[in-house]
Amino acid sequence: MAGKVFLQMENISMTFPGIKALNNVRLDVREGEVHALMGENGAGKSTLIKILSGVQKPDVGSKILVDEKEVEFAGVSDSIKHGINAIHQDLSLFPNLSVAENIYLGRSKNGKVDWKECTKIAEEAIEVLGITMNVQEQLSNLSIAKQQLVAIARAISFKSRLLIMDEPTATLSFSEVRMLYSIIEKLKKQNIAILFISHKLDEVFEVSDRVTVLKDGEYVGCKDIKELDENSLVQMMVGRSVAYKALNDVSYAGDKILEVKNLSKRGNFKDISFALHKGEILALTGLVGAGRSETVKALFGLNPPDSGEIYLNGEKIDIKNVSQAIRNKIAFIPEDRHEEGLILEMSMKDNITLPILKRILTPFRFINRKEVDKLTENYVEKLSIRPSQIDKLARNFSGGNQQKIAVAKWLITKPDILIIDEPTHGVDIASKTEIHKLLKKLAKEGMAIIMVSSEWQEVFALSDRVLVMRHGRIVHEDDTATGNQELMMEKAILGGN
Amino acid sequence: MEKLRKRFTLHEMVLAGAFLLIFLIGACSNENFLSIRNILSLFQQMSEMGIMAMGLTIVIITGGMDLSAGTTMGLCAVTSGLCLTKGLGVVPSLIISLGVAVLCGVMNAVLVAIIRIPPMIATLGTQMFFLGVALVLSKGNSISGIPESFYFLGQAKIFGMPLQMLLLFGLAVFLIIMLKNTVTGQHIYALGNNMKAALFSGIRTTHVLFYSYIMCSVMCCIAGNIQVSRVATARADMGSAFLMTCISAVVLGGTSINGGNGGIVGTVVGIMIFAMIGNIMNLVGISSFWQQLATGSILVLVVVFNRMIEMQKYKVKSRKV
Amino acid sequence: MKKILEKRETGVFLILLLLCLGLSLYSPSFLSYTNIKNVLVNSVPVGIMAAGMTIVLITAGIDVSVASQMMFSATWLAIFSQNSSMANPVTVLILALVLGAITGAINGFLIAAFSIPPIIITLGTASIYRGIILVYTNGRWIMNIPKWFTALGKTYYNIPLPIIYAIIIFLITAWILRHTYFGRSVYAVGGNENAARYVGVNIKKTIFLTYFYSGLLCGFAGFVLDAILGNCQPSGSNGWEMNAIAAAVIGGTNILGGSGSVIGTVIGVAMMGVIENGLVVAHIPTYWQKLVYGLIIIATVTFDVLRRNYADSKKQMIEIDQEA
Repeated sequence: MAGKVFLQMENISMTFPGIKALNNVRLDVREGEVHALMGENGAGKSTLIKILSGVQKPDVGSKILVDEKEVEFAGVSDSIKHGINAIHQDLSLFPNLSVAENIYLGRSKNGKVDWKECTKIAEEAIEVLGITMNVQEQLSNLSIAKQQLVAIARAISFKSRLLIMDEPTATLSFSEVRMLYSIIEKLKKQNIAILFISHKLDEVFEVSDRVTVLKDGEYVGCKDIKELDENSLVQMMVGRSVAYKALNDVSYAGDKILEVKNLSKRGNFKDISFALHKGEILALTGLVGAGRSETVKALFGLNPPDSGEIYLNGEKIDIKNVSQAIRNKIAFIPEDRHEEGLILEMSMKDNITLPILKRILTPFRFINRKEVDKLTENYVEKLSIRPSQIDKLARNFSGGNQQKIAVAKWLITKPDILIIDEPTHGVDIASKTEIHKLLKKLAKEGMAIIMVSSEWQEVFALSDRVLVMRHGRIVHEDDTATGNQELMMEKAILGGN
Repeated sequence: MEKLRKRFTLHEMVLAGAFLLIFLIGACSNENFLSIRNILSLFQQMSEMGIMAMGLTIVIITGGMDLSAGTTMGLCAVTSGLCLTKGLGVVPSLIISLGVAVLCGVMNAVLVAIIRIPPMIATLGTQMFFLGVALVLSKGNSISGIPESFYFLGQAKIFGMPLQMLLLFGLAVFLIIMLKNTVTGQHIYALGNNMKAALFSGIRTTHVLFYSYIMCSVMCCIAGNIQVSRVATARADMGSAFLMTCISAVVLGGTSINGGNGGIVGTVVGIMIFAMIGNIMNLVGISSFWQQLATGSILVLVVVFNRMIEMQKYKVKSRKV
Repeated sequence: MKKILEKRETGVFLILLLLCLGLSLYSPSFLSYTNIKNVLVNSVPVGIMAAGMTIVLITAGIDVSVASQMMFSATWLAIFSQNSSMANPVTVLILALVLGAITGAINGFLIAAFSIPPIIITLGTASIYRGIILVYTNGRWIMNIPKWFTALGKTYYNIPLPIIYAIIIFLITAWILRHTYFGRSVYAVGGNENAARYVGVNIKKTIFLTYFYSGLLCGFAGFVLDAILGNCQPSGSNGWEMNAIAAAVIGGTNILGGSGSVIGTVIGVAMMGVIENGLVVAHIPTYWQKLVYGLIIIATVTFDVLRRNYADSKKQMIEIDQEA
């Protein structure tokens, strides 16, 4: 069973501005094995794949060995040359071209395309997978599952020895997943190794031989799948101790402020019902793609639902756009501060006051600049944003301070309900704690907070109640303090009973 | 020097330098350049283009583009020309012409903001369409016989100053205040910088885009009517030649074609530079064809220059990391 | 068979046939040899430019300088053919290609090296190329192009040479798009630039070559134009770039990039020629043309964008468990 070692990665480190994405990580893959790579979001899986497929270069001192010889991947073509092919989550295919050409592209003889060879290579690759497919069909006419098979066929057509599959089952239906498993089996028999990235435990136990777990950019361990059961694997992923102590025990004795009934939107979420109380932090958790962001965006008018009702203070309201949400005193701090939260090329004060400009006008309906400065300084002090230059461009602040600016931008609207998506994503440890403290303080002052988070530690430390989402539905609801934390994680990862 | 560096950006200083340089060249090369008459006629000539360029500035700040600006101007000119020659009064004609401008703006905005066609492509299509409509309305001819009652717009003088010059500065002041001091202005910049973040901040991006494109079309309409009044004829292709110079002036004036920054003052200075170049060439007797060459070269040079600075900035930043 | 029916080219071709049928019923002179010949020959310069434009559009670019590039070439060729003792069909042809290569390379370099929106760059260079020839000729027409030159644009044995040129260009372009690595890279870049990078396509080189090739064809179009007309008006053929774009778009090229074909563009060019001629035959003033073309461009682009938006929104949907 255990073939000889094909790939070894040692001391892999990767530093991004302000963040160490990987720290001395190791990984070895044997020929003909399915090796699962697991970890929470931000554990460093995707960075490791990018290094392995030649998209990113690791820090100096990192070592990659193929067939026990040290190699360097300067670009995508280098890793392909060594028989390593990645199938990215977005598949990286060409919808406007035929199946055959999608498989063939990247090869040429003296700048010419040999269509006979193209068809031949494509048909061979499809045959290896043991499926039938018209290779002349245009890719955009195929289902996502079939497109994925094309991506696999493309990878193995390069005489691949290691296939990296990034969340290959995320968009597949049950029967399609079955088909993928059988193809993985076939590839194994041809001595092709597969590095399988997945969130889903059941899947990992079904297909993989060994598992490597990463956490916060560090190597946790590599184990034979037979040595593990689901609980022990979850523990490896989440951390040594599963139980966390809440920062302090706040009871959500406040009045019910928001109630959502049977909110549904096709392809986004279904039958979402919950209540939110003043002074409470409600965590909305689950895996990526479970429909959490889609749900909270619906509450903020960014993604209006098809059906269902929203009650604010007992009154039924409509939220069709962002302005309505703001008028109803709802605020939303998005996850991606660079793309969605802040306008980086504008000053801190312009960013912070952007949502409330209409409220601070002079009698001639001009913007009251003095008020802008005053309000900004007020919040700079309140949240201790550093440096405190209000005219400085948002781009020039550190990640933690940018997050604070994003928070200030929404606190300034004096919201009753604050929705925050992944509050500490991409933030250093010190700012993390500060942001946690701030959220607690806001809740204590009576604000109702909905926090979307994939970090269990954060969920357990901060929230009063947890809603677990999976496949667009709420599958579990529990008190953080009294509830069973392991059960919550299991529900999110495994779903069902 | 240090103080200057703090107060003005590099681009503003270069722009001011270029302005002074061309001004000096003009003053040295021909004694008529500095005469009051010449300066007033300079302003008279640049008003139409200036007004159109200011409209374009707004659209470009939102991260958009209006390639139909020139033909919008032509369409509006033909419209009021037709109305006037059919015996309608000055005021109703202007109102109808403005109405057509609003329709043009709405059409652009629908394509850009609602259907979400890339602005350059959308307005490339409407450019041709508006020209077509104008040609059909005018039957492909130029419309003459504009009644004298309409001449005031492009030929009248107030205290010795051409009316359109006052109009140019009046509109400039209005737009400067709008962009700098009103919520709409702030929203326009926010949108151009980051459409998504703007949406997330509660800005009604669609409204702002409609406002911007309609504003641009209305400015084109004003420019068109001034020209109809000045030359007493209306033609469908009246504004077509303006587009290039206007875009060049906007870019030269420091507004990035990617949107998000820039302003009216820069655009007005940019148009002044082009107007002076044209004026000097006329005075010295250089063929007007040089202007076309100069305009194109300046556009390409400025765009490439800005881009190089941007790439440099980006490189420096990534090296710091 | 089903595949052929599904293509947009087929639909456009059918409309073209119907149009021809209607016109020939309306006026028998439409189907006469002279009329058809005139329609086709007059479409040749735009057709050649449209072939280059097709490649540019497939990469999701645009080139609004094609008319200026063509006139740039045509003007120098006219001057050269009149004044140089070295002028003969071969040198003129070589010069045409060299001139086109220069203007195309400048466009390609500026767009690829600085990643500036192509429409802005080509708007600028259009005015530069045109400015240069206008300054040099002072806007004057160049009359009396030598006989040996115009002979290259005449009809022999009922076969007009310009049509032969156009067919050769279409075949070469179609071959490049279909059978070369560069041609397939064009589709790859326009279809999914990121994925193209992953499979090792040199994006900058592809984009440079695209505009270079477009320039080359413009240079050749200038040669053909001189040969057909026998004179050269440096300020002429204004707005032909829009006709080239319209021809490609009518023929099914997606202006957002990724798809398009030379055969489609050929049909598009023919369609535009027929519409133009049809308007004359039907005594409808030709100024209706622009309105119609403008509407066609807007409508097809709207359709393409809506289709893409729909596909995107579908892609983002997640699978929902049917029972709770």
